[in-house]
Amino acid sequence: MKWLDRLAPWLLAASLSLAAVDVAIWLAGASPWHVAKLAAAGAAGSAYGIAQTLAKATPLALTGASVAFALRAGLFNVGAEGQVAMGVLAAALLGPKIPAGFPWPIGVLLVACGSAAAGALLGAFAGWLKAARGAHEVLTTLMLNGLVAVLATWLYGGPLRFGAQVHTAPVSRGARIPSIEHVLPSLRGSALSYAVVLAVVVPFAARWYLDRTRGGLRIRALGASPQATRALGHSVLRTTVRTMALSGALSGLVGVHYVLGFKGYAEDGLGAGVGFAGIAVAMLGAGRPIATIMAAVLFGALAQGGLAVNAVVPSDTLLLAQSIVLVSVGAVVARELRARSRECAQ
Amino acid sequence: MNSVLVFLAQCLTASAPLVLAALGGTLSERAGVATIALEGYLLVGAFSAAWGALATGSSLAACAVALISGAAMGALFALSTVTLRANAIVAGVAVNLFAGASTRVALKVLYDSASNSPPLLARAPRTGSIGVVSMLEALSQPVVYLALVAVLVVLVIVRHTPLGMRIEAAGEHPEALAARGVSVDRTRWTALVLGGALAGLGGAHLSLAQHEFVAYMSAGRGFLALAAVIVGGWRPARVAVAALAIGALYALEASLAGRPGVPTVLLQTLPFAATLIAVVGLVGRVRAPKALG
Amino acid sequence: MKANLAAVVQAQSDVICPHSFDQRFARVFVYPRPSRMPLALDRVHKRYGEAKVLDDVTLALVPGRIRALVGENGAGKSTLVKVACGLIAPDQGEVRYDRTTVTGWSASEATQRGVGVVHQHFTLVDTLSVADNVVLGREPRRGPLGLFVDRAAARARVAKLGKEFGLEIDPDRAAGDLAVGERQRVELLRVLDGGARCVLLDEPTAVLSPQEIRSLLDVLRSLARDGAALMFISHKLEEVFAIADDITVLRRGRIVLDAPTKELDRDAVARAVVGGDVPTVSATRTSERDETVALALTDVVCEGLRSVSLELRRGEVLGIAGVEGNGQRALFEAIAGTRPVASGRIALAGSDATRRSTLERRRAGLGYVPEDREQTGLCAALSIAENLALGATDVAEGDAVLSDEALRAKALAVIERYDVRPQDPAALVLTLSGGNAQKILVARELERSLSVLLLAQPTRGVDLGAAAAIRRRVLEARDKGLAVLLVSSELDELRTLSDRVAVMFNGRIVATMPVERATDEALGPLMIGAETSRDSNTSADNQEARS
Repeated sequence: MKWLDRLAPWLLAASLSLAAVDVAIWLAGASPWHVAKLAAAGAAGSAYGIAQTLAKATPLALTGASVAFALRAGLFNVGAEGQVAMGVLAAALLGPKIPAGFPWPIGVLLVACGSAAAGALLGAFAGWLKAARGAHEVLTTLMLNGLVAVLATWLYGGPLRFGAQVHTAPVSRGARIPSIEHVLPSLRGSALSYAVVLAVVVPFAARWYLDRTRGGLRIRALGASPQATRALGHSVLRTTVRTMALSGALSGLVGVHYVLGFKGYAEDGLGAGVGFAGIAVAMLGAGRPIATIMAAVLFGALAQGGLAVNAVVPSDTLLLAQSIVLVSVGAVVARELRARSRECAQ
Repeated sequence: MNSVLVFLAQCLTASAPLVLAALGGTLSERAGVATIALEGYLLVGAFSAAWGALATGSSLAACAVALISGAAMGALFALSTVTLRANAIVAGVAVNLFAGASTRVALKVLYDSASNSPPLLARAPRTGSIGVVSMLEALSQPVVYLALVAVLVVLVIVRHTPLGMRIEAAGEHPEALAARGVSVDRTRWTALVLGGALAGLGGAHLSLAQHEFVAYMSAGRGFLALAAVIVGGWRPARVAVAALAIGALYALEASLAGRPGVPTVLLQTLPFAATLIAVVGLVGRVRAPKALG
Repeated sequence: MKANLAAVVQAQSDVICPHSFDQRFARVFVYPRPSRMPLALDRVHKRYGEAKVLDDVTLALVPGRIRALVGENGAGKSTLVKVACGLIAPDQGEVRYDRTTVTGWSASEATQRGVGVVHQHFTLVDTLSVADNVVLGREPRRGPLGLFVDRAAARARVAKLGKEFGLEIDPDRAAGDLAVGERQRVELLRVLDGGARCVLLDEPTAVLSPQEIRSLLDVLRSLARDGAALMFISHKLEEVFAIADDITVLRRGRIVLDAPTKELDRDAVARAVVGGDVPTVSATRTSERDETVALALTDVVCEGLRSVSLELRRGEVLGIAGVEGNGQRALFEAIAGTRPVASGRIALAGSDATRRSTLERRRAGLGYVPEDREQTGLCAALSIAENLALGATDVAEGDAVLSDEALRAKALAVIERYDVRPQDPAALVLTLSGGNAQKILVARELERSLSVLLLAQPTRGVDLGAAAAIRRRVLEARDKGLAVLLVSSELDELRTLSDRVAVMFNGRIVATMPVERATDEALGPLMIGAETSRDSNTSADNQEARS
């Protein structure tokens, strides 16, 4: 019966989200059942749909891993939004600079390093503000999000604008990730590229680093108790900066997906929203790589399914589910934490 | 003279929503609940005011609708954090996502548009210099006056009412409040619903002053209002002043943008950059509610 | 109900109860308000997970009488108070008020009925004034619809109560600015303002100075004379015998002794508290003492420390006695390097370490077992193996890959040597009992190559078996040359382990003496600052002279 006790709140959370979305669909004047069928068909009913779902899941898996990573040190990185934008910007700046004759794996690797470094820089800054100045990371990363968003809008509309286009210069062939459509022609036009590999590898790599290395152990120790970290002689400052830098780097990698894999250039608004959605992915994933990837696929499917039903109800209806899932998962997690601390309160 | 008047008018327009949201944030944060949900409150307030204005044609009615829907958002946030005990940051992100998605859905369903509402409450034709016109326009907005009233109301609540004392206790030492037989949850619910109502009212100003609702028009103002709460040290009068200062930065942007020799991007980043610096500089000098989380 | 209670007593064979319950309750009815018996617990059970915290507890409070509740840490005293005041619900059994069963006994219900609690951790809101703190929850109101707080009435209430019970205090001061004793007065005022006729106090004297304790006891007496029913928790038998009319001893959640004070003597109560004789550890040393100085402090000043000098030699245990909060913690943190030192010099094995980081000091052979085990000592959310791994100083840098097998093997060795339960290196520390967690913390430090160990409250909240094991390990290490600086609030532990005993008062070491001379009579006056040192070993005299 114990597993039922554990499962019940999750089931309740799931049915609550479903019910809320159904009500929204019904309010919007459509039949929930009809919409569900349309959405399922759009997100999973065809090879193209599946590819699109995976393509939408890719950035979410990265930001989800990023948020979960910082959370292990007790840091709430709500700045994934800005770190993604930094990663996109770095890819847009570096991508066109790679010589066209470069073998693409090397070119992509170089640009990916740039994207990760750009995200890491922003994250590290917030980490430094937290550890050295005591400014709460939630507030500073929110401010940095706003700052980067304004800068990006200006850059893409002005200095980085490519001629008459509303986007940046195209990435050179030497840094372009081949689309999967060369292997699977049925995926023509889909946003899916080999960047999806990142979505699979990164959550596992992040978990491995946390569990198996000294740096990871220090990060988890900081999350468990900052006072103990200090008493052990570890530098809280360095660990905080390192955590936020690595977390930012994971978010920055999203730039690789959008700029090198999908669009081939950057434009205003590219990647907006995946940072905050990453928080929902991290909550559902709870630091477990497979769960993180599955959560990303779930939200990717919701986004893709939303587009498929757009003719009947607005696509955002399905995205409502994201917020409700977030609250219910948050509540379930809190409930489990309370139960655990009660057990240990002896 | 003209440009000074334009700037002052812009100050009023830009500050009103920030002041109200920051006051709402002050109440909820004093009760011990971190409130990044302000962003969502503003957005929902803006949309519901637009709906109210279109449905009734009265800006006061629009404000009432925004007030009520803001309170409802506050209740939603309270349900998540206080009753269900979800982490306040997580719940705040959820409220913001919910606000973004639900206003877009409603926009589509009610007005069949993905980005903006039909124009609201046609501007009264005014004559005179641009400075006078923009001042009159700013002063015609009820929310500007309501923001002023709200400062006084929050000040009185915090300093002179039993509710204010209990809110403070809930944020400083919830066990102390519980030990006196007062429900911490109920106190926090009250603070959060009141805070939501104030911020919703602030949101009304966004759409009413612009005469339309635009998707995601809050554009980070809720987060800036939250920063104002911190810069103001969780004290209503100082918070209002901090929000006014951030509003002035927006006004600077609005009245200087497009002039030759003024880098627009600098002006646009100003609110975020200056607020970040203020927050970092003031940390340690202001005292946060002890049980804030 | 009487019959029921009596039956309970019959059933509890190990209850030492010289009086029958009927007789005792007969007394109730001749007290000031014969119809009222404010609060009674009837066969209350409470468990947390596997652990029984309250086991069949039956207890009644009597108007006009003071009951002392005595027991070891973890005996269930605080839980009992929380059940009595409605903060937690019992799993089984009833709470009765005025001889009627109260269903849904809650904190607000308890407050309304006149049950007031002074918790161990004060429930004052630092940012509010004294008067606001007293009236919070029952604010006097004025203005239309009673919208506003009537601050004048609040002040008047505080003044009136203060005069009545000798608890005068300025109503306009912020609670955060008050000293500990004053804060407690405000707590009492708050409880009395609520019209409490039944007052529960959870370790009210733990943080008070002797003078403050005296005046508190006076207040409690005057309350009892006024007809209030009082119960207070304490482990200081002295004050228990000085003031209580009845004594109840709780051990492992059960009442093992319950009788009027005049029928008891201290020995009986002490035995009931520990449940027989305490296992002892022999401190006989197997090696000769060494004269090499392992740790030396010269005129160290920092926040909480007024000027401390001491020398600790290899293979020596220096015990620090003192009332908590007299600089012990500051001393340890200054030596560990987590509290900045304003002036003075700290030398480890002869070389200056004053400006060295915590990590460098740890590398130089300093070990630290802080008193705050859960927060500062261990990372409760990590496993046994990980906590042990964190003790190694090379973990503090770099990203080298950790060997899972090595961590496991190291953990298994410690688990075996220290007899830790559960025997699972992957078990999270937060699931361990206090004793097992403390073993992990002590092992984490002792299993490194140490020259100096800072050991604070090594056996607080630890069961007796584990406490003895921990003491044995420390003495073993001492015999191998480890220098130990020990802080303990248990004088017996200090005397068992130490070679010399120093007394701290008000941020200074006021005396140092060989352990043979460290009797209660010698230490007592020094600990409360009633007497300064006559001992040649201390630097306090010189400092006094200098300043």
